[in-house]
Amino acid sequence: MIARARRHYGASPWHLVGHVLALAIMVYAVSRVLDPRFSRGLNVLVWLVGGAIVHDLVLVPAYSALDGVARRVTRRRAPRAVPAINHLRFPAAISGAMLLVYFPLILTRADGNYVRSTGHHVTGFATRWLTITAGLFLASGLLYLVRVRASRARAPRPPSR
Amino acid sequence: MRAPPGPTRESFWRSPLRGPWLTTTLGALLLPLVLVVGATGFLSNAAYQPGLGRNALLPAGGVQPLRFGWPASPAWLYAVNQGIHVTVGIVAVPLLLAKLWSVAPRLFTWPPVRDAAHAIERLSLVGLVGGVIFEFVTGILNVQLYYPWHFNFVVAHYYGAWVFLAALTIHVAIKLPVMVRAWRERGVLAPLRVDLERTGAEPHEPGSLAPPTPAAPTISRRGLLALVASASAGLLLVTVGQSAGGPLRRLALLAPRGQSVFDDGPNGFPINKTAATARVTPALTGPGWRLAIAGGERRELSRAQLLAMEQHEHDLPIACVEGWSTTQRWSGVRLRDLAALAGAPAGAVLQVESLQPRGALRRATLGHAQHSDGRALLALRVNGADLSLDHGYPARIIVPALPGVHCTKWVASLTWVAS
Repeated sequence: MIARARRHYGASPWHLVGHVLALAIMVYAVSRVLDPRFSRGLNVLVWLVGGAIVHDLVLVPAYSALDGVARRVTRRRAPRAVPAINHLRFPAAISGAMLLVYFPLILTRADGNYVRSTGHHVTGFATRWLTITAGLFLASGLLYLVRVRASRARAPRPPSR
Repeated sequence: MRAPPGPTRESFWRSPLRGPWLTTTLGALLLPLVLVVGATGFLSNAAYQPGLGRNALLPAGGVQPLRFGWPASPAWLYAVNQGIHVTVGIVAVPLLLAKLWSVAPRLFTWPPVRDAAHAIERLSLVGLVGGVIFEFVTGILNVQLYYPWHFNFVVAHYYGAWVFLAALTIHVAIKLPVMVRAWRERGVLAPLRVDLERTGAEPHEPGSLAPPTPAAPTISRRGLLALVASASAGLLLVTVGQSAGGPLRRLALLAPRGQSVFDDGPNGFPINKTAATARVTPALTGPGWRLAIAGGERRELSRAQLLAMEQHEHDLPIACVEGWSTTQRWSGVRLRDLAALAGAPAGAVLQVESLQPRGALRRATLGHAQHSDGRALLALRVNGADLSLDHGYPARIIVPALPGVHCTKWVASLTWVAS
């Protein structure tokens, strides 16, 4: 009988017990926040599910598309020995992670709260991020040129066409 | 039924790196980080001593593990706990993104539901992915004081952790065999020894993350891990100085409390709330100010009388729940001397009230171990100068390992109550 129930359900009984327990804790936790003292309407639920949707349907396709463009551009131009794409990916990933985490400061989204809290205006974050970004791309570009020169020096001259 | 064209077809996903080994490895790297962030988060709640007075920021009656009398020693305990919570959380972001990228095809699995087990598993994955993104987004925006939502941050961030950790526990339990198999088949480290030229896809099986029709690789697996590590290292570098201080402070270029919130002078270190915001005016703190102390008896003390008492000086950190901290040289009257003066009952807890007219944090209750520590001060001066109004003039609480918001500024009264 257990075998039939298992075929019907699709996994072992422990799978079911574990998931029911976990889902019960999740429902309990969400219900604690949905108290009108702590959440306006279902706002907390919107953020809970919305974050995953925005990540999967906006952020991932967006950076995948950017990466696709970069791949096509570099494939056409770069010498095969030194792939250029990763010299774009590294500075872009480092700078992009900083923007993703610190966009409220970089784009000055909460100056009022910042002044009330720290006594200072939000200043210089955008400049510092742009400087870091420029520095990263510059350093990566220079490293690329060095690697291309080194590979040319190493490789035998290509046969003339 | 055949999947409609697009991401629901396995052939849509072509990165040769995706596969059980990559997801296993990214998951195994991410897991300890999120567990550290989770544990320090619960400890952060314990540090507020929610069982005392009106300290609790969470509604009563919920499950709150790791509750105990928060000690006053070592003095750096709270600073380090919060520094780890915030910094490790931020540094884990690139790893989290990579982990989610590696399983992106799963969202579009076709058919969407195979059987009951698959359905319940997918439902708990909503809690897992939604929960982890919710925790990271709310935490990261909170340290930047940006609140684009309509819910209580503390309550939502706390219970969001329950959603995530419940989903994570069951996820790890059912994926453990998959992880063991991936590492057994491919080796734990062997794929990292493969350079770009020899990088290939893992063998495709129906339902596996490895693509059926992989594209040519443009980065090796170790290259991808290096990419994630550099993004994490970059975040670490521009963040950790707000907690670690010292020469690293200058490198905290994007941290909310980096070098740019420091001014010159003895009172130049950062604050968490200006006097203007707290509506504390010079009129309230002028020569008419008196500190009311009450234990067995009541007394009022002027600032001059407090300064005439034995002064003690200690280097103590002030540390914020948002992760930043700074150690300064504080001097003032020991709380235990004031307790003796007020005839405080043995083992009492200390209720501190501020001049600040409103706000949840205008009062705090300190446990006996906290206010009876020899370094626990009613500070009057810092770095050899009087406290500035923004730092809590005429007097503020400084207790080792006490959360910054409980180091009450503009103290109006101290009351020792038998617990």
